[in-house]
Amino acid sequence: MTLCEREGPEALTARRLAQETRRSPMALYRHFESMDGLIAAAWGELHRRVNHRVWSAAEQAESPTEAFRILFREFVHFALRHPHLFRFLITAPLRGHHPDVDREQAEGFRRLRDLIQRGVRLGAFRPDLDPRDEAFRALFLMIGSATLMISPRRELVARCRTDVILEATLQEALAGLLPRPVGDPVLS
Amino acid sequence: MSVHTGPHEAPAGVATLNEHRRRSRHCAEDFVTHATCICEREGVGAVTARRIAKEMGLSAMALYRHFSSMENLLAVVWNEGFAQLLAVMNVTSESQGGGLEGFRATLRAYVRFGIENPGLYQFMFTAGARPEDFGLENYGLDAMQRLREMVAVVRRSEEGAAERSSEMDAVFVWFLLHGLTTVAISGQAQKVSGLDVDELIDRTTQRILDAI
Repeated sequence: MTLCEREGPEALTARRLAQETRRSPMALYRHFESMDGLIAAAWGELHRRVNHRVWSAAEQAESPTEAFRILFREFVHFALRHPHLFRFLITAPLRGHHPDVDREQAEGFRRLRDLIQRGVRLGAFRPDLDPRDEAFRALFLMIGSATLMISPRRELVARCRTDVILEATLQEALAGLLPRPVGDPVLS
Repeated sequence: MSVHTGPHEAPAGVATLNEHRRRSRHCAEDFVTHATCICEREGVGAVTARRIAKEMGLSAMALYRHFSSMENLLAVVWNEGFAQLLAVMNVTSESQGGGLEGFRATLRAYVRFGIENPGLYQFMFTAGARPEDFGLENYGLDAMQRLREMVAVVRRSEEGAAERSSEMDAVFVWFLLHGLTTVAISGQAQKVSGLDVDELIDRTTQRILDAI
């Protein structure tokens, strides 16, 4: 992960890892069946760390709305602080079947869906929401906005400052969740 | 295709007749095609002059007869990706007669483009390629401008939509599209949701249309 953070996911080759650890490329295969196995292990570990980081912050919140805000900001801030790791997180080139990795990613999504479900139950979010659809919408907005913010060609999509994009996108995500005020033209 | 061409021919007498014949069969488009294929199969990290040349049965120097640098070649690959995406968007929208149905079909086609060309798609949105530095029109800007125009057309047809910014709506649409495409490429969205990719695309597309 140190190599990935410094040089990006493209640097994750057996040869580069061997150079980095001052061992032969074959030493790698004593611990992992293949490069795919090593990448899966690193990816699973990264997922665990990101899940821990964003959720331990969000769970301190007093309301589902506040928890959602913290979660959203923490996720995007992770991308801004660790752009190469973020790219690895969302585009890891895994080929085989890796149940541990799948479980870790499913866990992150389940917690997001449960947060929205709890918000609906407590009346903080709209009662007609489908928590699964809204969890996907929030996830897509987080990934899309974070990708843009770390992109070297971000002007393709938007020229606003990073903090402006982050807060506007968070408002957009919340607008889909929060009950609409009485008299809102969308309802009338 | 307009690309920067370097020194055109080796000095007379340097290349053998067979080598000359083999080189002359390859043009800039061949290098772009091979580079795109490698990017698609193995990611942009695998796209090197040596690797492309090896696949084409040429020396690495052959590439520099058509491109001033690897950055030049990668800028062309990046731009060609956006040119393809723009063409898909335009053809799809027109096939539905434009408007709301054209937009809906375009959103689906966008995600499908990413799923069918995952390496190229990821390269297009993570690389810092600058085709304009090599005298090329930037199709990335054109593709995003086309998306903005489509969002504006759909919003104009919706009553009461004028209070929101069409520009920001287009940005949010792209965030959703890119997020969906990225997660669909990894296959994880399908695994955690139990939905197949078309159902996921349709549900997200409808959610996008509801929001604008």
